[in-house]
Amino acid sequence: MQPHPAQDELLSAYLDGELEEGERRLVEARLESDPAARALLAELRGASAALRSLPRESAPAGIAEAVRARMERESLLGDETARSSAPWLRVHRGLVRFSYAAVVLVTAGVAYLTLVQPAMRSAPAYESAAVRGRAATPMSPAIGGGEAMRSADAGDRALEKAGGELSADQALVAKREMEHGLGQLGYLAERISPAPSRPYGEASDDDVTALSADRGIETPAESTGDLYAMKRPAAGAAAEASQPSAAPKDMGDLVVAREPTAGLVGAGSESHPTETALFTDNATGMKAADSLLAYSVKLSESGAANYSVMSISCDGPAAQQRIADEVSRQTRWLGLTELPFDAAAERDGAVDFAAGVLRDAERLGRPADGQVFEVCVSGPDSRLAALANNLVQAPAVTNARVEFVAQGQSAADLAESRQLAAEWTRNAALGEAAQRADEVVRLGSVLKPTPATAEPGAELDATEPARDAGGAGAAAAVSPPEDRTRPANKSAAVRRGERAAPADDAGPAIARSATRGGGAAEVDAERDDEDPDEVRKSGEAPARRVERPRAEPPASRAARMQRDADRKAAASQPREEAKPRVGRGFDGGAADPGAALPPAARPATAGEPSAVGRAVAATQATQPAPRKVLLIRIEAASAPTSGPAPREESLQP
Amino acid sequence: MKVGNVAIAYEDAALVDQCRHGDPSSLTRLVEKYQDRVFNTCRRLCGDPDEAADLTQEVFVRVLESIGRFGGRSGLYTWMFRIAVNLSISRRRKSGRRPTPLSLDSGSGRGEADAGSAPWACAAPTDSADQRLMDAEMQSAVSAALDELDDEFRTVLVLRDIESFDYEQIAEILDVPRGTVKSRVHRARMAVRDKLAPLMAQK
Repeated sequence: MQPHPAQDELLSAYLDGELEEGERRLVEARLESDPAARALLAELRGASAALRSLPRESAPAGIAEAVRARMERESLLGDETARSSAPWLRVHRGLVRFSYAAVVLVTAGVAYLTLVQPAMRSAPAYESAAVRGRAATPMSPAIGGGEAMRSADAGDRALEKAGGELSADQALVAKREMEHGLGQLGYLAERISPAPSRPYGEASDDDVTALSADRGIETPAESTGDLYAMKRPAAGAAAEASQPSAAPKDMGDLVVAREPTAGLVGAGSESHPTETALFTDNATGMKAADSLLAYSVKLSESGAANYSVMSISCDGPAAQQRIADEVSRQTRWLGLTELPFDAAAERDGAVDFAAGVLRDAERLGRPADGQVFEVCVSGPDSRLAALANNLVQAPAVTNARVEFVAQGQSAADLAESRQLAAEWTRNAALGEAAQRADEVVRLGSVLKPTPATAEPGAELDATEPARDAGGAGAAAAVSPPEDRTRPANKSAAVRRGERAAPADDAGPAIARSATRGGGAAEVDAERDDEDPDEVRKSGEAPARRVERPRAEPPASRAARMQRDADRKAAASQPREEAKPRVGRGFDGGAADPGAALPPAARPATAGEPSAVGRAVAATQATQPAPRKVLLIRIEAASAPTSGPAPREESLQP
Repeated sequence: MKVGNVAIAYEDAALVDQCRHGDPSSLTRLVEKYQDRVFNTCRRLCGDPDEAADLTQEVFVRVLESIGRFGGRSGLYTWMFRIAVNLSISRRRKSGRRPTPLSLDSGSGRGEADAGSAPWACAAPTDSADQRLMDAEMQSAVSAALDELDDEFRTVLVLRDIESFDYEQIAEILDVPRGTVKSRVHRARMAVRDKLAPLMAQK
């Protein structure tokens, strides 16, 4: 029987290793039984080898110099690029606008038809805070295909063609079209909180859960960690400073979405309460997301928006790697942020990812005023402790404000988290006293609710009314000395002022908690009104207090703090006996006299492992280590950098 | 995205960033990194070494002029090779002349040929003058066979067998579906096989 030409085509692809597994088996079966196929394969291999054996020539010398000279000549004679593109844009502005809108609409429409509708028919609803009026559905790898890809390609080309040439008018028109198109997609997002919105990174699992519950969106039983990577452009801060009467600028226009298997690429504008988000779990979807994201970034660059955000949500190292790769690539290509994420660190996990960001921040030197770096990572306690340790040693930040917010799904978890939060916060405050950091670090758990062991509210002040979304909170906090001893940096003050505006936002936004799974609770480690000197002198972990309105009488607060301290001691003691504590603070243990000094300020002892080394060792010795989420927020300030230069290895937990 | 490609993308992203910021050394590094591959591609596609040198210059000038608008939708090198392919084919069509085979002493093979399994692959270099002559003759024949192909087939073979791009990258460079690449590669190889068959028969 004469083989079909298509089967012969498979031979070349087989030769190149470009066949899927099923096709490869077919070809191998054919080769076993068909001598003609084997002969043809040999001939094809020969042809390919003959081509590969052709000699290669080196480029003539002086290409670089010639290119440079030509660029300089063209620069002197006039910008050829400008000559070729700008006039076209000027003359055909209307056409560009129309084309752009058309591309966006077509992309959105086709993507809706090919991606969303099939997914809605076949997949269960997943939670998403980014969804208005309907549940977002993850895209199946089988969904998508040529149309979406072609649309994405068309969008790509349009974007490349438009480049940075969008005028403000064009951008606004296109933005409206994009919002309309995305609305049709069902992916138009809402901001998480009412204006003034909260900083991006403070949106928590519970925000998502609460919002999802409000919308009747089913929450997945298991919540996984998010990775966020973003930077507030310096231009945004400058605009903020130059427009004091403008609406509060914040990073709260946030896409927070949870989807167990897919990635999220989001982009947002703080000047408009909408965000774009697209769930993807395949190349087609990612490509479409790329287009939309790039589009949003162009809007941002054009001035129609003041910042852009990319966020990723992932489950498992493979997805994390894939998405981190993509986001890193986009981040850099699009100029959204100049943080060159360390690929190796990303591959090793979320904590390393954050470490890579910090390392990159170090490499960049001092960020410009107002720049904000945020990374949310998850990992075992001890690794997070090591990471937190590194934060206060980072010279890229100054003027410390370090907070931890701990959450627990059971009384035991909660007690442990409280202790960690208190210790880390205290150490952070010490590091702050050394004037070496300007960070807000928040720790929140994403432990899976375990009804069998959960003790709803057992560790909380049961009489405390839920502040928001059914959440109940108990707080333990240390206030950084700089909060009073010297003025906080301007942008931080602005941020705090914005957050203080609504009553509900008086405390850290992450304290908005929704009790879920029968056991969620949280601890807010913030105590602005405590004297840090007293805390330091006491040598103890800071006391805790239940989060209340600021007008609470001091006596009542002190009594509750004592109650909480007693609870903490009672709750944590048995666990400490059963399992040695690991990663306790930066110094490995509160009883260590050296703990009164930040790690970098302590003299090195011969043979003594570093805090990082201890933390890593502790991680290895502890099975299983609970995973928590650490949100790192680094905001550049104008205060001069001081303190010792960090060791390079100190950034690697 | 393959890990190797990720590493390339990172390197390239840094180069692009630096070029955008006007770092003079980045231009040199960018050119030096890719000039040989770009030159060889242009050389094989347009057929004339002088034109290939000119085209290589042109490719880098265009890349650098547009780098500020480069959105990163594709890798830097795929973007660069897309420019190279388009320019080369355009130049070749414009000039209307057939490419000239490489000179017999234009260089040595890369030694990647699987001589044992390839009946007409160029043998590994030896000290034998006769063998060198035969190799040169074979190279000339292969070059001629390649040059006689239609643009679309020659392009995929250059990208696949000479520049070692995978199908996905070729599809991206040529802006065609991957299935088209697969088909073209096969048909192009079949054509090369047919063109070289007489020589092999003599051999």
